[in-house]
Amino acid sequence: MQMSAGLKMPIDLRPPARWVSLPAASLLAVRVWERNFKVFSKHWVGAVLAYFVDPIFYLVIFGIGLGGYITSMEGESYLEFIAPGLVFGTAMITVCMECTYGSFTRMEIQKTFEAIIATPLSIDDVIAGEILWGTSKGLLTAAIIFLVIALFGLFHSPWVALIFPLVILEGILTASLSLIVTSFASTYEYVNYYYALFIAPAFYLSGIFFPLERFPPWLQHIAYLSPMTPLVRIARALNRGVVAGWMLGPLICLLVVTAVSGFLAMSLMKRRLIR
Amino acid sequence: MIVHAQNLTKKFGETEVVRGINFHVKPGECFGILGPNGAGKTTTMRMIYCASPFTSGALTVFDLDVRRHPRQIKARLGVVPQDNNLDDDLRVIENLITYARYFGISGSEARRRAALLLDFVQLQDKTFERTPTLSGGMKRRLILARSLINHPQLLVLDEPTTGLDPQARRLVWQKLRSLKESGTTIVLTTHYMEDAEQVCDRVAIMDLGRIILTGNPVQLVGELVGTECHELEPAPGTDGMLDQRLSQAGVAFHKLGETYYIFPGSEIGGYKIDDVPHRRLLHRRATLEDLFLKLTGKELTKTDE
Ligand SMILES: Nc1ncnc2c1ncn2[C@@H]1O[C@H](COP(=O)(O)OP(=O)(O)O)[C@@H](O)[C@H]1O
Ligand SMILES: [Mg+2]
Repeated sequence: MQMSAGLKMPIDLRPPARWVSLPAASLLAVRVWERNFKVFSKHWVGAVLAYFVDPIFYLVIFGIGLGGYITSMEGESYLEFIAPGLVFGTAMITVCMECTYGSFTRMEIQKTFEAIIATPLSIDDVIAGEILWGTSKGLLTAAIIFLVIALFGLFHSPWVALIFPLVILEGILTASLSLIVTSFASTYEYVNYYYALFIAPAFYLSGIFFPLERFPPWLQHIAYLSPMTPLVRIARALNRGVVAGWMLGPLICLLVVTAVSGFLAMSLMKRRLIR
Repeated sequence: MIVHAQNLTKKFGETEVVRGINFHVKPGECFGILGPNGAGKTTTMRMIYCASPFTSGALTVFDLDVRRHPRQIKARLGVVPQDNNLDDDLRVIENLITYARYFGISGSEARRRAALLLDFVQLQDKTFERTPTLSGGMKRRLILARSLINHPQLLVLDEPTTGLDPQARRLVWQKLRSLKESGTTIVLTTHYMEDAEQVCDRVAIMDLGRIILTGNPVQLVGELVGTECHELEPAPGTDGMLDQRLSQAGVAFHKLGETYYIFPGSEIGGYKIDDVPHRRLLHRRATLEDLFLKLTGKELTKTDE
């Protein structure tokens, strides 16, 4: 190694950081959230309108239309049966769209991430910001459908307020999983595989529309791989005024999976973006 | 020392694209990295602004190791990347304000700085335009303004004027000169040799991942090429004779396609250069371009690509 006289340089012999290094997101992630919020706020009327339309149609078609043929589900009306689960279903779809199509556009098409990491923010901050943002949009969707359900008079217990922290958990998990997919995506078409192989099954097999016990056992096992399955079950119980110990197991499980997914999302994004 | 690179290398997989370069940038100077496409200039710039980890060697910015202190370094940097990456979802002034927020600058201060910087790069008329509608030159100027939002001590500019029309180019160089006068240190890459000669205190000439020469551009050209260059396209069929004459007289020259670049002196073994039978003959000041040609036998810029 050449050293010019009189110039001292710190020589660091440690190997360069690899993509498996621990994520080190900071509070600067909030700036990324702010940026996305600013863009969203330009078109919020349309977005909120769209979020209202979906749940209303769900409730009208599945509840009133289909529900006319179903007199009672586990002792409640069909509308009451599906309503709590729909909150998680629609939130998951919103988060998935935001952190696949939205994030991919920012990362690959608009090179927004690249611009941001030339500032004090790191890739970990950017990804944490994206997770935060996706989760926020999920929360907004959930709040809107929650409001619609409340207006339909389908909530019966104050415990349903606990749905919101659960939506946050679901949001962080879905955002992380979606960003993992985005970190591998070379085109928008990648999202189709994710939707077909994960999001759609997770939605339809979660027991939103009828009790899982109707499935053959093998399909029930698959259904339990959906993060929505325990959430739907818990939400339904909360609406019946039940808070019980059996909820704890699945929740701890979800927390662990969420932490691991968030970690992986950051690591895989570093692998993709650091060249 | 503002930037200090020692034996710096960068590999992409097995390919080494920066191959053990040494250079430093002193406070207040403008340092230019010149070289043909693929020389490794952008890779070097990306290592300086902590976007790309180096493979071996050492690199410090503000005497801080780029691997250990990227946040602290980036907080004091202004970056103009080679490819435009303005935020198309945001309007012109919002681009600046949002960028300021990444540096933790408060909203009111960000708005104040954004307005001043739009004046500085003469985009005040475009304040509320949608960013994608700007012309190439305006986008480049907006990125320059964006890079100044945090009052950086070091500006890292990767081809700040490439693709701009001459008028827009002149405006950018004029702004860079005024920034330098106010004490900002600048590292830049460019394809425009005339501009580099005028703006840079020192240049490094890079080829195939190596720095082949560093120094003051005017001095380098003067010492190694001389003051003038004759571009000569000989009359058809006289190539052989000219080659022979030039070698006999020991005159330095390079031949690119049909054109001979002949350095210094206006005589070839007793003949006046104007008397050589020719289709085209141009006497001009020698430039960095000629220096590069002399050193590598290659053209530095492929103009009008
Ligand atoms: N991400 C990358 N992966 C592989 N090779 C790369 C990558 N980026 C640049 N290169 C290669 O490194 C060399 C130097 O590129 P670059 O630094 O962009 O040169 P310059 O800016 O001088 O034109 C080129 O041969 C280029 O193809
Ligand atoms: Mg380049």
